Amino acid sequence: MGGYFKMSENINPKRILIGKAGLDGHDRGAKYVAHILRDAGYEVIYTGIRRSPEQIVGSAIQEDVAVIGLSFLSGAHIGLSERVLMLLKEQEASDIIVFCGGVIPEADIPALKEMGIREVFTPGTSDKIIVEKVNGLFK
Amino acid sequence: MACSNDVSTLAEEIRLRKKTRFRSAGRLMSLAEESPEQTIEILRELSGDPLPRIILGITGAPGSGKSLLAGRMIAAFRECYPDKVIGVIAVDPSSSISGGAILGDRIRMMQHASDPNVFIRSIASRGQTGGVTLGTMGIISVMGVLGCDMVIVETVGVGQMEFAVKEVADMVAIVMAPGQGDTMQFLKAGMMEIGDMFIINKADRSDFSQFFAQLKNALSLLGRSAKNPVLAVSARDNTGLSELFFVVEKFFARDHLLWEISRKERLELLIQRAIFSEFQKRLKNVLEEKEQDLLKNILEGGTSLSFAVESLIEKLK
Repeated sequence: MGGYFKMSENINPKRILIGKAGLDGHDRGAKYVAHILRDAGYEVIYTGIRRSPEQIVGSAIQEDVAVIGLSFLSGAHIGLSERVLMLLKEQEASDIIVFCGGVIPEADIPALKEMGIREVFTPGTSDKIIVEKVNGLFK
Repeated sequence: MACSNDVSTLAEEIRLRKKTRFRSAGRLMSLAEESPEQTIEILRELSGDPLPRIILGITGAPGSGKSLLAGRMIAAFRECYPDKVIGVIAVDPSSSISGGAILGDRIRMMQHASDPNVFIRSIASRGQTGGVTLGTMGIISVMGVLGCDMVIVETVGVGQMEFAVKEVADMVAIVMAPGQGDTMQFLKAGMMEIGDMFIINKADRSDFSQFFAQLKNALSLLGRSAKNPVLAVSARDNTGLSELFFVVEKFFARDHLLWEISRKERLELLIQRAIFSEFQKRLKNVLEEKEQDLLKNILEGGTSLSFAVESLIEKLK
């Protein structure tokens, strides 16, 4: 055996939460990223659309994930990311890594990184790059 | 500010109801999932702490509405008992190819994500070895320390997962919906055999009464009508929930000592299975590392099967 159908020997997969915060119902991107991360061997908890930062952080803590991925199309990425990071700090859970993806203008990326968002994936990023960079977050 | 990995420290933080207790509980659950060794350590640490009063298993075919129903049950429970805590363990399958999983049952329960009296944990089946169900018992015991009165274990009824739920839950409810077969399906072996009660969801659908009647008919044919209640609910329209809680409470109104004995027996069985699973893992390693020609020799007639078993056991020592 070998190649594609090699059965998994991944005994304790790492856990990631993919969330969509705010008034934004476009989750094709979030679902796609959840899917490629699953294929890369992660256990992905998906929260569904229109969640509050409180719900996302609460879920991440109960699920004990190492990483949160936030997906945005609404344009509210700065405010909502800030709120998620603040709530994590309040819960003494700042060691949980946060990355963002979606329709995010290049000009906003430095501000997001400055506040503590570790990676930002804009439209057109290949699945290979996303998996590589997410793998890198765990090192 | 990384979270501790020490079982006693984490347990103490929950007992003292510290602000970080949810984080500690989440981490303890991860440890319980990681290895049977750690699960045992957790079960030992928490042996003096309360366990949930009710462990209810919910299983059924994909798409029968288990997650939404569990979400509705949380809401109904919180309305009836504002001071009590409820836990949900939602199990989804792991990919046998990548080992990854998408855990999506939370979507139907998200309105409770910031309620401190609701603790939801999604877990992946991770191949469903004996250790996984033991890990689930570990998670249930952590929910007990958190003060959970009731824990719902929700899992899809395919493969062996419905039998796993029987091993951890006190009572198993099978969720079904119209369109999932007729009397013949109900007589077949499998999921139907393990149900203590049957919840027929989607009562809002037009083909509901026929399905309901056929199931009742099949159960009476099997002589199970008196023992196994059948309930009509609609998770969509939020109907039938109070009857559901009534039946569950009635089931649990037995002597508490009986539950304790039954739980202890089940736990021993799970530990036994975890031992078998570890044994199998070690055998596999020996087979792959030291006895690569064994399989070939058996096929070519050089070694008998029982001799191969003997020599593997010998190599394990």
